[in-house]
Amino acid sequence: MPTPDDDQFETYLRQFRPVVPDPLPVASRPPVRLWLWPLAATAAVALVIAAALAMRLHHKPARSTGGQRPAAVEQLTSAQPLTLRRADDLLAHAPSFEAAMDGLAFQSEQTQVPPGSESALETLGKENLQP
Amino acid sequence: MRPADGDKSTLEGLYRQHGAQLVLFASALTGERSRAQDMVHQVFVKLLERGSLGHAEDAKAYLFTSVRNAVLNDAKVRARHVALDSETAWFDPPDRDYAAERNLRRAMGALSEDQREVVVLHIWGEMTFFQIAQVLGISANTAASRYRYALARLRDVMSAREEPCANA
Repeated sequence: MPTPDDDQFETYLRQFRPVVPDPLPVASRPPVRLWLWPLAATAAVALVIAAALAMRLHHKPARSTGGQRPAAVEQLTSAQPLTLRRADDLLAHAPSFEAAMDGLAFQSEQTQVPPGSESALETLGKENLQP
Repeated sequence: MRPADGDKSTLEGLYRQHGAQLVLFASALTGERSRAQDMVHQVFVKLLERGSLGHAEDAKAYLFTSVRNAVLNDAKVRARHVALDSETAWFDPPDRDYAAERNLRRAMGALSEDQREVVVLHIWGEMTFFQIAQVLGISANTAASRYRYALARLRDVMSAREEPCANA
């Protein structure tokens, strides 16, 4: 038969709380949900396609109806050196991808050497190479 | 078999709910808190691999029984007389009274293993004598009887330590 003293002593003992142990080793590892992988891959691909389409639409102005090349293509074919920035600018402003590529392809033919200078090809042509 | 997410979260919930009590119970049997924690982890890892508690009606009693079996099957524990580790705290004492915590552990060490089991299960495991009887494979009367003797012994040992301090 428990006495009031027992009850009091039990209450005292219950004030001591067992120390909380470390978490379970398996619980600390995040769960791997295998069924999510195909879903995540599909979402990533869709995102990339959507981003590419958005960029293309954003950079593509209204197609000109005239038969002449627009000014942007003219700029490309000028004597300025072709840089990545210029190519990017051209692609952004060209009426179509094909037009931009045309401009890039024919630029080298129209590049002119400034007066008083000569091209590297000409200089090499003057070299008297001994066999 | 991989456990379903529901079973896994149930087991993790049981660990959060009873983990501290189970480790204390295992500590009372092994004498070492770190070994006790390892054993409780082993029990839960096996249960997680298996996927559930099976058909256990009383999950808490089942967990205490599993931990007890794991401890008793451990050769290193069986091979030696259990002396309680005096270095590691088992309890968070009220009012950060760590001297009282050490005193309680010392008194626990003065109990026989049978008595220690019953005290831990009843006071900190919050189990009835019927549940304790299930875990230990004894009758509920025997569990209650052991508990009364254990409580009296615990009080004697603890007060014997406290008296000189109270007089000082």
